[in-house]
Amino acid sequence: MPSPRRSLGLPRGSRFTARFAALALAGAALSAQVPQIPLVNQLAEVEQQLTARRPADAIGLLDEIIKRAQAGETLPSGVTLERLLLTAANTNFQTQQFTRAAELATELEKLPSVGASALGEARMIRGLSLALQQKYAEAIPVFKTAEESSTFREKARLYGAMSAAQAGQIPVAIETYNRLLAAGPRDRDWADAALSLVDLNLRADNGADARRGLALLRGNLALVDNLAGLNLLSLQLGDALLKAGDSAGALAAFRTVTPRDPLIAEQKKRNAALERALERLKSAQRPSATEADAIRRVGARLEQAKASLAQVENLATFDATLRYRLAYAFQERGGVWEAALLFEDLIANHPTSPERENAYFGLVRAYADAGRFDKVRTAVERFTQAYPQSKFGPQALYLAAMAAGQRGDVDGQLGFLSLAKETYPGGELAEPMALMRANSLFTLGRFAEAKEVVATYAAAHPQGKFIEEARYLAGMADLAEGRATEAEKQIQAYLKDFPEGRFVPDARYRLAATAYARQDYQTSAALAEKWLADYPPEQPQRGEIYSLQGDAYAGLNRIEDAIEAYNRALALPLSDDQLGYVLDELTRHYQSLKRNDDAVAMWEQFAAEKPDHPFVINAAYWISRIRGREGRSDEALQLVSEITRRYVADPARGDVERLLIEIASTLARPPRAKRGEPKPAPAPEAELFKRVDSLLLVGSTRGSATAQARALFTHSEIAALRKNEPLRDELLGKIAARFAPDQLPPGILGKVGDTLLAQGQPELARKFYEQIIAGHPRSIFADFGHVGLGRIALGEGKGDEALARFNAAIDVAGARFKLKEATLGRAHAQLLLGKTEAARELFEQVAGNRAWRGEATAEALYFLGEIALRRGTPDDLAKAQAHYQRIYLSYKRFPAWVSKAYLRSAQTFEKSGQLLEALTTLNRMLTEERLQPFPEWQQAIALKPGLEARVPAATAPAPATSS
Amino acid sequence: MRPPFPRSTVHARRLLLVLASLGAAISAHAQRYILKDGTALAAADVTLGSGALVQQVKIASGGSFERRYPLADIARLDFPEPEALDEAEKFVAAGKGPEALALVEPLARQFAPFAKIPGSPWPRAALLRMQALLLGSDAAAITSAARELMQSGLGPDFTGVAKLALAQLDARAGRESLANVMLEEIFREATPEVQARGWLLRGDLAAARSAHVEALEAYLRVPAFFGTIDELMPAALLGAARAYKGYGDTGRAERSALELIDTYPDTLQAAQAKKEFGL
Repeated sequence: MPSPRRSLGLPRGSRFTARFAALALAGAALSAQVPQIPLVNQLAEVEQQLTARRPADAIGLLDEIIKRAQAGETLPSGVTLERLLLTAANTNFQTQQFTRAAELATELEKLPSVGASALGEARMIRGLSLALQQKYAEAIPVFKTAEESSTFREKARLYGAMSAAQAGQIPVAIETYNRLLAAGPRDRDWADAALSLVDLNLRADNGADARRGLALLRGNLALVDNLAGLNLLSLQLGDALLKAGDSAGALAAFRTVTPRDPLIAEQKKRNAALERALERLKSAQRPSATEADAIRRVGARLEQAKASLAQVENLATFDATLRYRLAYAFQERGGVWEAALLFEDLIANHPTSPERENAYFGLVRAYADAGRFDKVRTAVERFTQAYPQSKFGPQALYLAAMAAGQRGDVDGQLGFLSLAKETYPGGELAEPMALMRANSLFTLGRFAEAKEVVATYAAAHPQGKFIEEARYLAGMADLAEGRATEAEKQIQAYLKDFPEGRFVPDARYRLAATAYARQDYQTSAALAEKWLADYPPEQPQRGEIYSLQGDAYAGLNRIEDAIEAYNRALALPLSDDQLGYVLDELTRHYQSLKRNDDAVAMWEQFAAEKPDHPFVINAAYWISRIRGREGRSDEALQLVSEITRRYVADPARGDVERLLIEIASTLARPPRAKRGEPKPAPAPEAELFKRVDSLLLVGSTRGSATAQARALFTHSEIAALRKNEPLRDELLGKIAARFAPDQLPPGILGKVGDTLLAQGQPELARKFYEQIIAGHPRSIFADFGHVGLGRIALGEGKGDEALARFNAAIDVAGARFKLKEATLGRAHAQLLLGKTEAARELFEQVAGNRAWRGEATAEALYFLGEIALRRGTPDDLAKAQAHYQRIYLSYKRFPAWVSKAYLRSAQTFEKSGQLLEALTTLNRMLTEERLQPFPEWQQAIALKPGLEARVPAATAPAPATSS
Repeated sequence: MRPPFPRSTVHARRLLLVLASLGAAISAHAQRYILKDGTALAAADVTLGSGALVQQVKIASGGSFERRYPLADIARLDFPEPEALDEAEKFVAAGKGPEALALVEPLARQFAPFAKIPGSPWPRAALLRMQALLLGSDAAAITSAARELMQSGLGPDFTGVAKLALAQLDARAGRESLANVMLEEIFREATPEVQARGWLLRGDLAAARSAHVEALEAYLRVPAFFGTIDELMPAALLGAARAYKGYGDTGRAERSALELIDTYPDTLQAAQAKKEFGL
């Protein structure tokens, strides 16, 4: 910074001082009369003052000498006016006499004989003098002219750019810095300039240029003294890029930022080095203007570095902020796993950071986006517990609810929505959450509750954003509840209030469907016809309406019209459900009219036109059935096998297995008896296997390992249908032995893996399961792989891994075949991890699922009993007892579980002090001889004498007959 | 007589440049031991004895005597950086362990007595030797080199590398729990780069068990927490791509592989990713 201009004082303290002062005071007239001091002497005096580092004392003398020289006095040999002026300008600059320095520089520039080097230096002095007087705009063109000097070009550009930045001429500054950096050597000044350029580019919203600048600096870190500044700029750049939607750029910027402690330590080191360098510079004798400027620059650099360091030191949450920014940038570019890691780290290691609350929300979002639904649940729980009043709470719960919905976990979705409703009533998400809740309830078949939710919503928000949807959902809930009249009223009211509403076509369709449900087929057909007349051909529901029209015509017994309507529907887009319905109805009506060939032709056409459609299986089924009924099983098999052979060699076509099962089923069926003849004996399995081979292994498929494996698989299915389980397992074992996993389709891989696992060969099974996941991750059989690997992990006692596997079976693979096993597996994994409550909930889910009733229920009940027994309170013991009893009373078909349940039941009675009941239970168990092979049998025998000894004789039960 | 006016900065700079280039020319040929008292001993004039440099001094009478300079008196080594180290580094990057070892082993032996002395090429040679050894399967040599690094007293950078090598040996031998004990120490104490390498190893261990979630979380720590260590990104991205695939998330698996191929196209991992993911 320039200091106030000092008056041109006379030199003090030298032997020439008084004399020189007298001369100066006497003025020019006196000087003409008094003999002049020889110039040589004056120059010596100047030299002496400069050597003694008293430049201020030299200034007056220099002015006098210059005046005399300009008056025409001859200068000593080797001394020129140019050199005098340059020295004077330099000396004035050193003493901060910037105005005078600039004047002298101007005089020098005007000399006709000035050399290029002196001219450049003069321009630099003038430019610097102007800049130091804050006359930045005036300095800019001076530095521009100084660029002509190859000696001073770099400095001129540097100061020109700095002046332009100070003058607010940002584009000029950027352009000048760019020229400087393009040509200048890579030194510390270059690094300073590059930092300034990044700063300017950031200020000018030139994110890409700023990014390039920072990358360049990162590649030359050793030259950067202000590391803290560089890091702060990187943060600023990241923020700017994030704001501009460039999350990849932001991430690149944030990733370069050093954490706070090492950054502070390194900056302190560099500051100390700068201080030493500054001291060295200051100790130089008689620094030139440029050297003085170097001192200024190093000093300024040190000050900037210190300021940046102080800024970092004051940012106690620097690391947490950095983590948050990194996580956010990762999240924005889809790196949700990385984001989750960073958010977790922030939450764990920065407990007092203000970013922690946001991090929790980010974590919920990251887990939801990654499809890690189990983690979403726990993250939401942790968040709401840590910040019960967080303004992000509703958003987190909304996200969690959406994630649960995506996973198909409607119960979970409802749970989150209920929690949101209780914890954060009102708020901007209350409306969408109410609708989501109503939809969830509707999906769960809780129509009355759904209606109540939308009714409450409609009452509270008559003009709400979702009022139309709420009104319509209310009608649909009534319809689903079977209140057709009420539903019709609701739909009519909706149509009246929202004549242009987005549900109008559907509402009109529902009215026609309601009429059909009332068996008012005439009205239904008329409404359908009107609908078809009113809406254009491209209306997406058109196929559905034709299907309804077909139903109505069928109701009116206009079968030919119905067939025509269904066929029209078939030509239009339909959902798979609707398509299946229409195909089945057409098949039924064709059969009723004895038009079997039409039905078969329809299915054949379907299979030909849509060879990849899952309903090709239905085609095979119907063709096989219709031809079978006609006694044309062979023809049926030929047709089905023809469809099968198209894909039999392709392991990626996982749906072929469904056809193979159909073929096996047709072949395994006992032959029909001809009238008047005895029932023929079923064909031996070997014969059927040959038949399978002749159907499947034809032409090019014969040499295909996959086709051969599929033929063996069909053999195993026949063995299974013939209840020959050892043969089935032997055949599956053959597949395992003969074929590499990558030759097998996912369905067979799963079956083989399961067989191997059941045979106690987990390592071999693992290869087959892994191939499913690696080779067929999107297959409908992918859950076989996840569940199989989960079971192996369980067997190895690896709870975490097992849980992740079972979760993946559900969350990633959709658990189409193994939902029951995956749920049971999750329960076991939670139990293994000591999370008893989570395990209990899952076992209850299994035990309570009617569709899964069977061995899984027995298993779940047993473990529910175990959990209750472990708790051991009287209440829990009673619960445990109830679970065990339910097994041996209701699930007798599963002796392994019955055996376990009996023993545990007796032990639970004993624990409760009910010795007689314990003994009775053991006796009862020991009457069931089928339980003898199980280990509990011997344990029961061993337990019995002790109980008998403790039960009073009078009350002892009758001994068991078989013990 | 002194010049009457300040000397132009140009001259000073030129002089400095001249001096600097002269210095470079000298150092390019110098092989000297600089003692704490400032004495410079040309390497050619001394031999290495037990705990000392030994100089044969000839005397006028025709005889000679030995002058010994204890190693503890050496302040720094003024040796040019051996070019063999750069070559070895290239071999290591290309996965050519034996070739790298052939270059680096003699240097590691030569400079072992001067391991901690400033200017010694031993630290770099020792690290390269470890990297080269780890490309092979000589467990005994790896263990010995690791112990040498740990005993060098060169600080946490070197101790961490040694511990990581031992963890890798445990991992190779199927002693995962032992490897994990070592890794925990690394995560607590080591420098960021070694920590990042530790996470890669942990990812490999989990991947070998097909514990894909665990593997993913280990591999992804590298881009998440050690984003400036660019040389480890290819391994992390390939590991992550495989783990995503194992987890069943083929979309992310492919994206990770593509990021690897796009960002680090010339790496071995990128070539492997192309092959594995059919990209």
